[in-house]
Amino acid sequence: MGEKMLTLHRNLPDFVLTARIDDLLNWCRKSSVWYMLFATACCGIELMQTGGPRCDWDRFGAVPRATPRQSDLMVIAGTITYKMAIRTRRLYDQMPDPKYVMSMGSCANCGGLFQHSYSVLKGIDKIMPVDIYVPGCPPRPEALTDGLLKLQEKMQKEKFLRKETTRI
Amino acid sequence: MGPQHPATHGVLRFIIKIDGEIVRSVVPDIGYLHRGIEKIAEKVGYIGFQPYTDRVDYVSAMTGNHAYALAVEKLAGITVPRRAEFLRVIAAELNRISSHLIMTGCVAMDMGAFTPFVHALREREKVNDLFEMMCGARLTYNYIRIGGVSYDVPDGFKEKCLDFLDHFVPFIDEFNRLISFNKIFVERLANVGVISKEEAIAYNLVGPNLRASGIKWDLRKDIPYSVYPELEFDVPVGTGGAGTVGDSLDRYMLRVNEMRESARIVRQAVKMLPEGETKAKGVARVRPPAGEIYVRTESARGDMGYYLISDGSDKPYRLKIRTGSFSAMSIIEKITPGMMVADLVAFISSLDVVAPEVDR
Amino acid sequence: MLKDKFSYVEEVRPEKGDGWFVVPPKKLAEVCGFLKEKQGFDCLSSIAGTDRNGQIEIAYHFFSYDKKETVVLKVTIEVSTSANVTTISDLYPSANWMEREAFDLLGISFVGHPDMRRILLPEDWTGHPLRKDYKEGKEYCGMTTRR
Repeated sequence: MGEKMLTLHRNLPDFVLTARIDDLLNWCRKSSVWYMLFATACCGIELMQTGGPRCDWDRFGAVPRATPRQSDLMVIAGTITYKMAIRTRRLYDQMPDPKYVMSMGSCANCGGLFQHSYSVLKGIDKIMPVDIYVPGCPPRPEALTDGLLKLQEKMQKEKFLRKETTRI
Repeated sequence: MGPQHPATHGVLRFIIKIDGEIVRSVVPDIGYLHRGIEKIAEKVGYIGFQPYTDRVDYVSAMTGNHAYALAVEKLAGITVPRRAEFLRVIAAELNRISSHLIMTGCVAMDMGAFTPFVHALREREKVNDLFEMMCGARLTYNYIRIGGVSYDVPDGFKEKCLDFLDHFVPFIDEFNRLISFNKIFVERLANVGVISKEEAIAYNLVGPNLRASGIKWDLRKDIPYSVYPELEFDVPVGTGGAGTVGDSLDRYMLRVNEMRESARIVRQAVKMLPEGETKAKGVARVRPPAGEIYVRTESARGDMGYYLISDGSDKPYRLKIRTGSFSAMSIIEKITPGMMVADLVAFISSLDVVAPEVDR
Repeated sequence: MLKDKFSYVEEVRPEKGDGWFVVPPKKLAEVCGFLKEKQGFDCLSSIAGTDRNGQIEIAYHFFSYDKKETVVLKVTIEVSTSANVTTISDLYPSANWMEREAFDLLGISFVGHPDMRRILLPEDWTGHPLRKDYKEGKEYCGMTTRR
């Protein structure tokens, strides 16, 4: 059976590609990561500049969407206060699966410069799971793009179709 | 409407009652970015507070730094070297240009035209390059420190700055051809959200919003500080060209004209830049004497006031920041009843409100 | 000039920094009306409250565009007897939000204000942060306040 498969594989013309379904699915998903426009503070301006002409996120397939219902990625850009945290969690719950969260900047990572404050949430990972942390205050567009590329690597390695077998 | 919404500039929320398309009442709900900066000042001290002044108005961070530095210097009696004063003016005016670029791009984007926004961002990248040469940062600079500026400019900065200005001033005309005189844009902004002179003063509007309502008031000319008396520039005032004085189109065109004036100021300041020190001595452990002071500077969003009460120690006793956007938000409730929803978006974006200024 | 008209107003000029006028809380509205109508100070720049160990001092900065001058009025109230101050939002519309902010952060209540509720902090927040004896709670709505 294995021999027959190999002969078939070698006889296919050049324009036919073969791949595992998982890899193909992951490649499609990582090349069109639509992020939600969520910007509270200074990091929001850097997020806008990253989507702008010089360091363009559109070439990675990442376009901004205004509504959480149509986005895969939520980039938490800026300081989250307690008043805003409740709404942020609500927005996260409104996103459809599979969803990812990138925490951008010091304020979202750990409270940042505003740790001394009485009304700032000390890090967004207190209320939602985070996939990628990008440090900086604010992070440069190059750093943010690096974060997106790492997220794409993470997405490429995900397994959906292979089930884990259990020993009885 | 909000707090996460593409048309609100940052996290602002409005509770709107509408009747079809006509707005009956708009109640702003603020506080989503209240970070307690005034309380932090009492904890971290004068020198430690300098990075926080950038974040009060991050789009024009240099002017925030400048106002705070002026307040402490006035109370403590520190004299700033002349070269530092000129560098401060160059930094502040370049920052005014980049702040107005964001505002004009955002107004166009809120009207539905995405391309002018991207053009404005491209120019802003060039200004960011100049700032990176000056101090290494792109958005929150912490450049203007108490007693001077943090770094001297490297060689080649003057030429690069003048090259940028030669390229930028024709760009303003190109931008105007692109969107400002477009018939649809003008009709959407003219006669929308008219604020009269008396309302503007009663609600404490400042800066470009006040000038658009016809009052010729600019702190750089009327109560000058730093080296502004030695520089020549005009102060544009709202004229109601295509509509009424004090409408949204006035506020938009005023900022476009202010960019031209800022370019003039930077050109003069670069030519007049003297040699010398960039920092005053003895600032590391500044302890202003007990007393209080209220200092105002002309930031891109109006006059930013710092009210500082000192008790003689190295931490402020009380620091209050008075910003232009706080008052601009309060006038929304008064002016908006009777507008259409689309006009509401135009009005809010023409006021140029930034969320952290409102909430501090 | 203010002292001539109102005998209960004291002027303070310290060595360094700006000077101010001290006004009793009950007479604030009268003095503000005089400043606005007769002297042309039609713009209220800011209302800043400070906690001075048991007393709260509120500083009002008035500005006149014609004269290019600032006038500072200060009113002192005791926290313990919860004395309160009359609002000036009928004279100066910009005072509306400023007084709400002072209430939110310092706990001063303004008598006659049309809408006295918190503006910057959430509605269910306890405490007034700018007071010197403010202690932060352990958590808010299930979110911990520690790092």
